[in-house]
Amino acid sequence: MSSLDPPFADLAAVIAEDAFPRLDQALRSGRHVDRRSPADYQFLEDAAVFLEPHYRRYGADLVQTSDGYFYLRPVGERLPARRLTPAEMLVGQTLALYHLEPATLETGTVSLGQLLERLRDLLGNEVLVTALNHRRKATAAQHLAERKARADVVRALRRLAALGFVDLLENDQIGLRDALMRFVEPVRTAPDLSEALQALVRRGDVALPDEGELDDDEVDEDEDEA
Amino acid sequence: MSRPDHHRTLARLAARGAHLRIDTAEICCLAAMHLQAEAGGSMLFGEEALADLFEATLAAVIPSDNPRKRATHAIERLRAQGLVVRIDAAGMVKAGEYALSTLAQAVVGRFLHNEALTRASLDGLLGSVIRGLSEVLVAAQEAAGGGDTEAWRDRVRGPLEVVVSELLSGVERRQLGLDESQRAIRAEITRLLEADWLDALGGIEGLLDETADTLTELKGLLLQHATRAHGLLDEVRVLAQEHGRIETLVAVRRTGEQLDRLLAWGRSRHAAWSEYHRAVHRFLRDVVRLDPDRQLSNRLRQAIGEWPKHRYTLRVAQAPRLTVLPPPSRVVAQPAVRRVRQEYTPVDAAPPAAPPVDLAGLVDLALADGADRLSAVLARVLPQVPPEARYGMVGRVAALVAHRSRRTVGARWIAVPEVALEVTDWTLWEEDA
Repeated sequence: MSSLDPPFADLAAVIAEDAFPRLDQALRSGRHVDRRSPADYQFLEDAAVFLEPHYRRYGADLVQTSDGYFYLRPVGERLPARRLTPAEMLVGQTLALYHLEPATLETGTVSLGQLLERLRDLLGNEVLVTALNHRRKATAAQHLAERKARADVVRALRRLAALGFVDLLENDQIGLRDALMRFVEPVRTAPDLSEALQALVRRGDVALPDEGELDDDEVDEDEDEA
Repeated sequence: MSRPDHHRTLARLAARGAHLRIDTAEICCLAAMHLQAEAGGSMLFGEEALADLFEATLAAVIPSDNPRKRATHAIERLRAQGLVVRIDAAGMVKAGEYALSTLAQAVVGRFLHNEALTRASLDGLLGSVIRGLSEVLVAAQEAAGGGDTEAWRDRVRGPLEVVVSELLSGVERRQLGLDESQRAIRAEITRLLEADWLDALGGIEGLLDETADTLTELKGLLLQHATRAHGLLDEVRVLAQEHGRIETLVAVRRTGEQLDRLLAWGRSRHAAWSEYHRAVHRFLRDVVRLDPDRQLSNRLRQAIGEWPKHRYTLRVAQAPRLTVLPPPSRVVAQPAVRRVRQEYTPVDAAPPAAPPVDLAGLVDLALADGADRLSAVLARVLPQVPPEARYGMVGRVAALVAHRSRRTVGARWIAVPEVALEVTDWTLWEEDA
C-alpha cells in the first residue's frame, strides 16, 4: 500500500483494528480524544469517514472540532447522555479560562491551589460552596467550607479527567487538554450568550436545566455517602 | 565507587559541616579577579592589589561608608571557604600572593560564560571524541599484539577514562546550558504574549522555529557521531574481551553509557520542544488570531461570574458499560482433607469425686429459706462443700436451681467469693402450682 492510499478500505477494516474496541467504548462513555493522544487521534482522523455514518445509526454524531479533538454527541434516544454537574461545569469553565491564557503555555498545567483560588476570585466563597454542591449550605466555619469546596472540586476534576478534558498529574497538578475548548463554545460566537446557547441546545451540545435529562446528582449522593 | 562508599563520603561531608555561603557582592569580587586576570595575563594578585580590587568592586556594586573594611572581611570569608587561595609558600609575616581556586573559577564560569550547546561546539567536541576513540582503538590493537599490561592501562583505559570521558562531560555540561536557554525562550514567549498579544506573533514564531531548527540539527549530529563512536567502542570491547581486560571493559561500558545518555537527552529535548511548538502554534492560531481583543476570555470570565444566571451544562455520551462475563472456570474437585485415624488412648484421670454432701438437699434448703438469686444460693451452699470441690460444684448447683425454680437471666455478672469466679446472676421465683 502506498502512502497515498486511504488507511482503511471499509468499516470492517476499522473495526478489525486493535484500537477500535477501546476507543469505541471511550467515545460512548463521553470521552474526548485530542492530539495529546496522538495515536488515538490519528486513528479517529483516518477512520472518521467510516465511523461517522456508523455512529449516526446509533443516534450520535462523531464530532471533530477545529480545536483538535473528537467526541461523540448523542442526538437521538439510542445513545444515552448525561449533563455535566454544576461543579463540573464551573471547574471546566475555569480551566478553559486558564487554557486561554499565555501563562499556562510554558508547562500546560495549573495547580489545584491556583484553580481553587481562581474559582474563589470569580464566584466568591459563599456562592462557590453552593455552586459546587447545591445540597450543601454555606457553613459558618471557614476552614470546613474550604475543605468541602476542595473535595467537591477534586471530585469534579476526576470526572473531567475521565471525560478527557484534563489529566491529573502528580503533586496536585492538572494537565490542560485541548478538549477544554468545549467549555468556551457558548461564548465563542455571539456576544449574546442566550442566542448562542439556543443554537448549541438545538445541536445537542448543551442542555438547559428545565430539560428532562438528568444530571449526575445520583453519583454525587453515592460518593457523599461513601 | 560502590554505594556504601557514597554513604561514607556523604557522612564525612555532613560531619564536617561542609557549606558555601557567597553573596552577590562576593561573587562580583570573584568575577573582578577573573576579569582582571584575563585582561592582565596573570592569575596572581599581591595582597595589596587584591584588597584594592575588592575595595573598588564593592564600592561600585554596593556603596557603603567603609569599603576597605568590607573588602578585608570579604577576602577573609572567601579564603576561609577556599574560594580565594594563597598560592606562595611564604609565611604569615611576609605578604603573600593570591589566586582564584578551581571552585571559584567554576562559580565565576557559571555566571560569566554561557556554555550552551551549539552546532559548532557539539561538532567540535564529538569530533574530538571520535578522534580520541580512534587513537584508543589503535592503541588497543597494538596492546593486543604485544600483550603488554601497561600498554592496556596507559594507552587504552587511561585515555578512555580521562580524555574521552572529559570530552563527553563537556557535552553534558553544555546540554544543561541549552536546557536553561530553552527555559528562557519559553519564558520570553509567555512574556511577549502577555505584553503584546497579537503584535507578538512575528517574534514568537521566529523564536520557535529557530529553536526547533537548532534542536533538529543537534539531534542529527548527536545520532551521527554517537553511531560512529559506538562502532569504535565495540571494536575496543571485542579486543579487551579477547584478552581478558576486565578494567578496560568496565571503562568501555561506562563510555558507552555516557554516549547513550547524550542520545537520550537529544531525543527527549526534541520531543518536548515539538510538543511545546505544537501547543504554541495552536494557541496562536486558535486563540490569539481568532480573538485579537481577548473578548473570549472576558466573556467566559463573565459567564462564570454570573453563575447561576446562565445554568447551562454540556451534554456528554454515557452509554452503559458492556457487561463482560467472567471467563468460564473449570471446576476442580477438591479432595477431602484426611488423616490416618489413630486409636484414642484415654488419659488416666481420677474420676470426679462424688459430692460428699447432699447438694440437692442444700439447694432445697437455701431456696426454702428465701434465696431469690443464684448468687445467694451459691453463697449458702458452697461453704458447706470442701474448698477443693467448690469450683466443680458451681455447675451442679446451677443445674439444680434451674430444675427447681423459674428464673430470669440477668445481664449482670456477680462475684462468688467462695470459688473466686463470676457468674451471670439469675433472679429466681417459685414455680406456679
